Amino acid sequence: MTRALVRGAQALGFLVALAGSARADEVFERDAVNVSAPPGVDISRVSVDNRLGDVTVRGHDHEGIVVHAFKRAPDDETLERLVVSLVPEPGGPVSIRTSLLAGLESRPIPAGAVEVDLVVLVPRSARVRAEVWNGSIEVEGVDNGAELAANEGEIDVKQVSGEVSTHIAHGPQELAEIFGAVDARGVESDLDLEEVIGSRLAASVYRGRVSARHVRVRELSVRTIHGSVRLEGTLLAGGHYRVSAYRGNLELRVRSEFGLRVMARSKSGQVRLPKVLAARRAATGAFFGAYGSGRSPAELQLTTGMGHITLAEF
Amino acid sequence: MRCGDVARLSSAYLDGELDDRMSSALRGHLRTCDRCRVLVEDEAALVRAAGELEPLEPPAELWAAIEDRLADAEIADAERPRYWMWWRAARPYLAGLSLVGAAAAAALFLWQREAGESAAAASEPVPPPVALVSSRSHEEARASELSRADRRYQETIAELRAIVETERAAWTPEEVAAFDARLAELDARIVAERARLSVGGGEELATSAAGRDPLYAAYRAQIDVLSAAAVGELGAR
Repeated sequence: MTRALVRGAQALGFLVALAGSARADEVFERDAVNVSAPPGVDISRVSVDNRLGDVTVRGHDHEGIVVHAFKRAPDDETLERLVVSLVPEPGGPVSIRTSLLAGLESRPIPAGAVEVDLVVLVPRSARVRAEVWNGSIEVEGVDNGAELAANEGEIDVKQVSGEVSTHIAHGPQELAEIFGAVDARGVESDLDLEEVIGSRLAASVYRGRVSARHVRVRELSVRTIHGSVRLEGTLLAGGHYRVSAYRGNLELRVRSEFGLRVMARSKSGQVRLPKVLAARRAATGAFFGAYGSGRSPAELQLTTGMGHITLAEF
Repeated sequence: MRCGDVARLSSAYLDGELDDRMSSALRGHLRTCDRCRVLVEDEAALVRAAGELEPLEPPAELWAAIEDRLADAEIADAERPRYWMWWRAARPYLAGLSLVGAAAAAALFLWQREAGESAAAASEPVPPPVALVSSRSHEEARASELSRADRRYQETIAELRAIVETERAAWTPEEVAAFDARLAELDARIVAERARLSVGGGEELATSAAGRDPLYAAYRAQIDVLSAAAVGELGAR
């Protein structure tokens, strides 16, 4: 519900900005290109490099690629210089790249006057790689993983299987319904994870919060330097889980199916653990607790330099 | 059937709750997808192991305790004052009335404001349009963005170094040596990339976002190593 409201507000903001920024001396163009896969060749990888705007990639149930390009420029001559190149490589990979070609005129292009946004439909089996400079990346409905990077903007990934890796220097990230492995990193970034199921979840942000719900993986490593972590999920037998913060609170609600061993340490803060763990405090200040008689308990390690640790079971 | 469908349906499949067509589709996916096959085999092993556990009988006093608490709650409700009963009955209607009233007040406010703005606009001259595009050029703006990105990475690395400096005292000599070696490797990589991008051998770097990708990758690797060390994960990288 919250997400729908946020999306609605973003759409409204976009429309208002578009209405406000439309000027008599701006020109727009919309192009669409269909690329079919050569006979006997599957499009195995699609790389999109767009440093001039946003990238949206959606999986579809066809073998080819469709590229929609939305261009904006101050005049027709500059519009002609906004180029979207599409290069199929031998054996299946396809590269899509935008560029602003050098012009002959002496008048410089005003800042913020050029933009190219791409919407790319790809076969679901294609592995996706996308990079933007200051803009958003949205990927949905692909089955072979994604590798995404942005300097400033936002990253939004939904219904993707395979290995997903993301990096953003400044801006939020939302990853939902990921089946496989996740490696999400950010410098100043709030990271929201919803339903991650598979082998591994690794998340690291320098400044920002990490919020993860419905997580069910075998290996987990979540780390923040300045920010809190909230995690809710299922710990598997024999799994290894590590949540760390330099300055931030750790709040976990977990279900462990076959026993659990916990080490929790806060250098300056409280540690609250379920009574069932019968935790004891060691000379180092760390709390150790365990429950369950299974031979392969889940191992959970929680550490924070400045903050509280709260572990609850459900 | 896709991997996401298998993750959602695996429990129902193992419990025998899927129909024949769906079960067949799921089994067909498992024949071709190693990742999903491992997931479902793990879950099947858990189900088998859970079935082998001895059943637990709750202690006798548990049910008595639940009964007592239910009785206490019912007695407390019976002892509430009469106005509480009236409030409970009227609450849904009051909530609806509040919403309708708020909507009406908002509509009245907007109508009155629009009427006021029309009157004001009719009497005031139209201001000239404000330029929404910067007076800087595209190239200048891009160079400024790249400088800012560079500066932010370097500031983050400097802050992390200061944090790690306070944590080093607790490390073993072997941990210190391994960490310093890794950091020196990354420092050298960053210096090499900056030299490659340098304009005329000076501090100024070429203004190409794509051209800086290897430099930013080196910054990110260094942030990763320093972050891990800051929280005591010395063996992580």
